[in-house]
Amino acid sequence: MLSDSTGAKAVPRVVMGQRLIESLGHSCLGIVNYLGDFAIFCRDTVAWLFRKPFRAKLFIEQASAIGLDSIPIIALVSLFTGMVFALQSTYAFRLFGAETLVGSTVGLSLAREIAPVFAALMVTARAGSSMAAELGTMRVSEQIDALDSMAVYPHQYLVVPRVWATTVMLPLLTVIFNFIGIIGAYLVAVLLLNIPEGPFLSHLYDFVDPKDVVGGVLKSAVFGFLLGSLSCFEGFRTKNGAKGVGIATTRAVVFSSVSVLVVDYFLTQIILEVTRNW
Amino acid sequence: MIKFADVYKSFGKQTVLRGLNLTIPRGKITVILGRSGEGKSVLLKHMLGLIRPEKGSVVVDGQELAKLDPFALNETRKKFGMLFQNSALFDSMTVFENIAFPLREHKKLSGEALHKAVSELVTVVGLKPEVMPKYPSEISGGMRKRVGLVRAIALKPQILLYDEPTTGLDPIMTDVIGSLILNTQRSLGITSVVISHDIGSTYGIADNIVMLHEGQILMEGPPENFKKATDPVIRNFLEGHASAEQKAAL
Repeated sequence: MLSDSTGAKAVPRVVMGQRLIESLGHSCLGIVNYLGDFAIFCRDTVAWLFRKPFRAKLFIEQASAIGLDSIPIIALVSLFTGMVFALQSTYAFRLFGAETLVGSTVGLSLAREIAPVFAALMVTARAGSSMAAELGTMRVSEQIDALDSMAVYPHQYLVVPRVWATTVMLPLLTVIFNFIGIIGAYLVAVLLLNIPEGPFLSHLYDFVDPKDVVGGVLKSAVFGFLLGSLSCFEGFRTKNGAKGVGIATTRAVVFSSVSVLVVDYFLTQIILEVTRNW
Repeated sequence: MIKFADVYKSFGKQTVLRGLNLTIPRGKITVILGRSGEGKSVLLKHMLGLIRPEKGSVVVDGQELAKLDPFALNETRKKFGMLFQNSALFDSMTVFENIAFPLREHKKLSGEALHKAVSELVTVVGLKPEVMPKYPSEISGGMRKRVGLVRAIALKPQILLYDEPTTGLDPIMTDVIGSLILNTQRSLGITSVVISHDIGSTYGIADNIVMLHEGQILMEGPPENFKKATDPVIRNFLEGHASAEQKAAL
């Protein structure tokens, strides 16, 4: 039919073009709707924080589950991240005799980028997936409707403690990541590869400014809010039983991880601009 | 009183309610019958404002739910208690915590007063104290229904909604739940709306029966009227006979 020379071939092309445009428009509308719903969800999360009843007990429970329970995995990941980073840097810097800069290089990289991003990715994998699965299960088993039926606001009861717990706890985990990462780098660089301790520490002290650490910690707070909100948002929108819970959990992890990396670029640019003259 | 006026509701391309008009009388037990997928649960969720109609209105005690802000809607919801189809107990909480939940939230009870209130409530449905520390996954379906019922009546609601309270239960437990619905109605003097497929218990408890078919009310009236109904759709449903077309569609 496409090769028909009687003019009939123009019709399918037009139809195909229309379908393509319809499909594109449908996808765009879907994205705009999703972002709009997510923006409203985030607005509600902020607004509900300031409305009674304040649910301090739930916040502490979530802070413990998201923050304290993540410390072992954060410690393990940060230790080996610092170690491997020191290993690679030492071999690279030795080529031009600058291996004493390993401490400052690892310290700067950890403080500015690696600690906030890796901590966010680890919390996404551990706590974000758990939040999405838990809320998704509650949605499909009508437990969220049950909260509504008992005149308890589900957003305030379920979402606010989780999102604010990730927002508060992720910066703390980032600080821990920095600290243990440096220890890992020290172990490899000083104890294994025999870089002198004095220059290692003095360069670390000289080159890593408090603003680098503060910038990383601020970024991690934004990541915490973002991944907590996205995970809860996906959990809240779950449909279609067990399969839906699986889809919501996957989407929560994928969207949170990608968002953290994308937002990281823009936040880094803003932070570098703002702190340039400090 | 709950009033549905010309209510339409669709999910995607599927229209569930098509201009439904219904009034739920105060202080009576109204049982809503209908085949699976006819929108009975959707109807119930409209009463709580969990779902909003696309067209038409749902009015509870003179207030149109769709026009209420979230806070006013929440105040209206305090008039209701609901027993969900699968009980919808919080699976991360024990039976005691589930029952105590609405009392903690709205009565601000704690400690001894909370224990006393929960103990009094569980005796209404014949639950033993040994069940209290168990999680919902550790008790039977019938017990879960009873816990769900206790949780629903904990705040002494004016309107109690039951979404298929006897589905999945054995005949004895079905009778127990039917008796609980009647006793709750008599002791609290409330308005009850029950969704059911169980014709036997429906005749036993209903003051008023509503038959939902193709998104509208096919018939409404006391059980006696339904026993005498001649409409083939109603007769087939009540007697559990599929029509020739329904069998042919398999």
